Amino acid sequence: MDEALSTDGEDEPPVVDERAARDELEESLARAESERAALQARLDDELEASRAAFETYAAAEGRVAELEGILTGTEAVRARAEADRDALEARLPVELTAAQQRHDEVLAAAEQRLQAITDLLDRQTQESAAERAALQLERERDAQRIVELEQRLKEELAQAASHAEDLVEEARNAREELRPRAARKLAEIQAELDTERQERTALEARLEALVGEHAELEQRRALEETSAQARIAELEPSLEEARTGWERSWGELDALRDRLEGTETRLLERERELTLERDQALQRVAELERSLSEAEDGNEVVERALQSVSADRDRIETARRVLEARMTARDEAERAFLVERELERRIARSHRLQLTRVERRMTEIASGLGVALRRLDAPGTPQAESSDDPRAPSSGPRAPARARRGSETQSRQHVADQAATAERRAPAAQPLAPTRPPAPDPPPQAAPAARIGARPPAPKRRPAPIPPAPETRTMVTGFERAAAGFPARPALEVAGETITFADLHDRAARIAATLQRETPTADPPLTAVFAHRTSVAFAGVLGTLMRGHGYVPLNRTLPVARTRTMFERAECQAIVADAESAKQLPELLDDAPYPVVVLLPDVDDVAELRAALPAHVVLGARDLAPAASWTPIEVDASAIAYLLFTSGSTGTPKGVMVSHANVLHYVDAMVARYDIDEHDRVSQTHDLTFDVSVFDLFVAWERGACVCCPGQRTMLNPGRYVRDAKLTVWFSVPSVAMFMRRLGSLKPDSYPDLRWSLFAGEPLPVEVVRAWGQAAPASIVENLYGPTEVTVVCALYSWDAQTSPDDCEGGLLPIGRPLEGLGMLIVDEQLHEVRPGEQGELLVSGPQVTLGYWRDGEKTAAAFVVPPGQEVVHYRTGDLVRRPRRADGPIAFIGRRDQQVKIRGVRIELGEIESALRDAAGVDSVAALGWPTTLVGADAIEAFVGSEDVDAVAIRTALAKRLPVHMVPRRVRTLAQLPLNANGKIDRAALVKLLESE
Amino acid sequence: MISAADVRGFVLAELHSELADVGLTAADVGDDLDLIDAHVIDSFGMLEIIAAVEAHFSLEIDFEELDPDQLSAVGPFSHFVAAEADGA
Repeated sequence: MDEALSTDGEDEPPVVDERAARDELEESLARAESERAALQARLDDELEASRAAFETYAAAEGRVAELEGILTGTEAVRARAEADRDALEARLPVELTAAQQRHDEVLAAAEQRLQAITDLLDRQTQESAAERAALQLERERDAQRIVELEQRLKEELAQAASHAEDLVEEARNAREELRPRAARKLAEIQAELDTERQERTALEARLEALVGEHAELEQRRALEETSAQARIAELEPSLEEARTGWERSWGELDALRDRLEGTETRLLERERELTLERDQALQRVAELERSLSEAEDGNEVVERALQSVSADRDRIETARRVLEARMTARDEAERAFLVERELERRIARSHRLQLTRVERRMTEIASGLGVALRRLDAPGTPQAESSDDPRAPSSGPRAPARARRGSETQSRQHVADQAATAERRAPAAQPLAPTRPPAPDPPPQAAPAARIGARPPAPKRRPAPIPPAPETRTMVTGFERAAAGFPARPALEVAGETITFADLHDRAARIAATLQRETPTADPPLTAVFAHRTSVAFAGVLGTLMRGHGYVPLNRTLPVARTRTMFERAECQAIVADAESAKQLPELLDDAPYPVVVLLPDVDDVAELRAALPAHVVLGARDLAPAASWTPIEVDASAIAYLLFTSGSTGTPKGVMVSHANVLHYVDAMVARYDIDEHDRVSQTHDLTFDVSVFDLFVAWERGACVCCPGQRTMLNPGRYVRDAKLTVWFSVPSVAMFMRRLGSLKPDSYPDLRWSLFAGEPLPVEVVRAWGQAAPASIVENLYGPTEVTVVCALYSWDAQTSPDDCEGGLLPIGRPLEGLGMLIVDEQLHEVRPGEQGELLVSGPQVTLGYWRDGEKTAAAFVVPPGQEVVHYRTGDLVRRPRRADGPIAFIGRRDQQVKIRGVRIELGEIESALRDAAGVDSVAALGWPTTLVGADAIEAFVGSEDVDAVAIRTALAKRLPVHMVPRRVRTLAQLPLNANGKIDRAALVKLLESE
Repeated sequence: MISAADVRGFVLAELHSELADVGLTAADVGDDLDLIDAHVIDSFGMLEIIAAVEAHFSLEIDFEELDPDQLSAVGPFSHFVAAEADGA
């Protein structure tokens, strides 16, 4: 296209003209065309319009024709209408006349009717007037009747008034008549009165006479009094003289005592100086030994020091002898004084009491001096200490330090301690002391002749080297000996930690030293240990005993309120707690009436507890005294070793006072029987609040064995622990074995390392023993029996798969025979021994019978008795047992005596029902209760069986065949497990609650 | 086939009121909650739960292999029971 344009460009003008012409032509053509088209269109339109006009015209013509037709029609109609109108107009006058006529007729009728109605109205008006007149008449008649009635009433009133007047008159007449009679009667009474008045005058006269007599007597008495007073006045000077003499003597006594005390102080000071000198000398010796060239000089120095010490000792000895002589002289003077002043016996008696006390104190001071002097007897030779000190070989460098401190405080501590011992022993031991024999003999007729001896049936492996026993043994001596003998051996495994004897001794000594520092004069000498399965629990018990205190175990897993009752009743002034138990301290010590010393050996930061316990002394790990500052203390064997609260039947826990002597007898019997040595590993399953724990700790430590304490949760199923910890001695409540059996942990040969399997605390079922025996085939299974009141265990029975089944009664193992040295008596209600084969309550006597209940003389007197025909105190166990038929047979446990109930007055032993239940159900865990309880007993028996795989109805049927009807349980309930209490025994209170909730 | 969740659900439903007593609901309970440490139940209650679980799922379980420290922990217990049921 572009190319064509460029070509056209050359001859443009001609082309343009041509094109324009063509365009113009075309344009005019187009215009013409469009004009033609427009004309055509107009033509068409006009044509169309004319066609339309024509059509309109045609239509109009049609319409005109139509209208003309209609017009014609209308004309016809009009014609007809006009004809009609004409006709009507013709008829109108006629019709009008007729209508007028009809109107007149109706009007007349209406007027007639109006008249009739008016007439009727008139008649009715007349009738009502007549009625009104009649009514008026009646009203007038009524009015008249009222007037008449009023009249009559008036008349009757008048009559009544006159009658009343008559009556008054009559009464007046009667009174007139009576008056003379009354006057007569009055006169009679007056006469009687006169008589009485006369009698009274006579009596008054006699009284006067008596008063006179009395006055006379009074006078005589006054006279006598005066003469008595005169006599008293006469006596007064001699009395005064006597008193002055006494006071003078007392002053002398005081002076003597002061001098004695002064001497003692000087003695102590001298002693301290001497000790210092001795230590210096010792140091010198050491120096000299290191440097041989100066040996001779050094020896001379030592020699001189020793000579000076010896000289000082002689001087002290002389002073002591002088003092003793003076005391003897004083005693003689005092005896003379007492004889001379016989007149003042009453005054003198009270003074003498005081004197006795002073004397005792003097003796104590003297004996304290004796101890101090004995200590001085071996100065400068540290080896001499080791005879008393079992730790010496392992603690050589510490010995001089302890000796130094010891010499400073020992004598005073000893005196204070002896006084405390005397004080605390008096109330506790008094009820028992008079009846206790010097050496308890077995009761002459004690049922079992055979006794548990030291014969251990278990394989004896090697003799244990035991150091000689020290002079005074307490519960903790065995541990101290073991700590000296086996310092590096494990003493304790707890909470994943293994602690050696030396380490445990050290921890205990820190606690003991701190208690000595903080509670120098604790009274009562008891300290609470509030710790659970931690090293603090064990160090706390040992530390308390090393302090010379008895321990009071508390348990954080018990309700705090119960713990608090125990703590408050024991009146402890110190408590050793572990970190976990310490959380309960604010609640425990909430309003303790005195400041308590709180030791927290495993707590470093005590700021928070200090803030929570502002009234108390809170000491953390860093505040403890060093172990070296502990001073050993002599404690009497009759002092309380531990105070253990057991549940009392009344709901308040009873504190059982167990002495060191009690524990030692028990521990010795156990150690001998079970042949414990330092290679043994002993389970520690019992909480410290359960006295069986004394075995776990003190029987083990007595011979250097290791105490292995599993955690609380491990106790649920301790099977693996027994293997992992390589235990050789197992001891638990039977319930733990039942749990293990239930959880599949008593498969045969599970525990080949166990030598001994011991159970105590509740009846031991045969079934459990069999399963355990297969799981631990190398061990001997024994059932240990004993109430806390006779120190943990007093009898035991060794299981023998061949012969034992015959000994068992009611599916339970017998409790066996008494430990060596203990006596047992099986008695009836009157405490007379029952015949062989009969049931009775078990009484126990011997050296394990404890001191009784803490501050409860009444309960102590009820439970610790001397039965008729016996000479020694027996503890009433409350346990029902069967006296063996054979003299050497075992005692069988039947049940608790206090499970006795009365049903409709008939006495029932629940133990007997439980025994029958066990047989019938084939299950050991059973309980029978008297329920519902009444004032005199119970209405019926309810029974529980701890298994859901038994037929309750069948059990009841079996019991009905065996027991009298009143002993057959009303219902036998089955539970998967019977509830157990904290010690793993069947919780009867929980069962009662279960019944109450129904 | 029993899952650990089944066991867990059953245990928590059984302990509904015990959990409520210590202010817990099943939703609050993590696998590491120890029923005994949390004071929901005691050791005796643990045995009851074991008995109930065994009865409910028709099982008899040998718990010897379960670490006693884990016996009362919700998660480990449930897993152990499920695994034992599976193996049986």
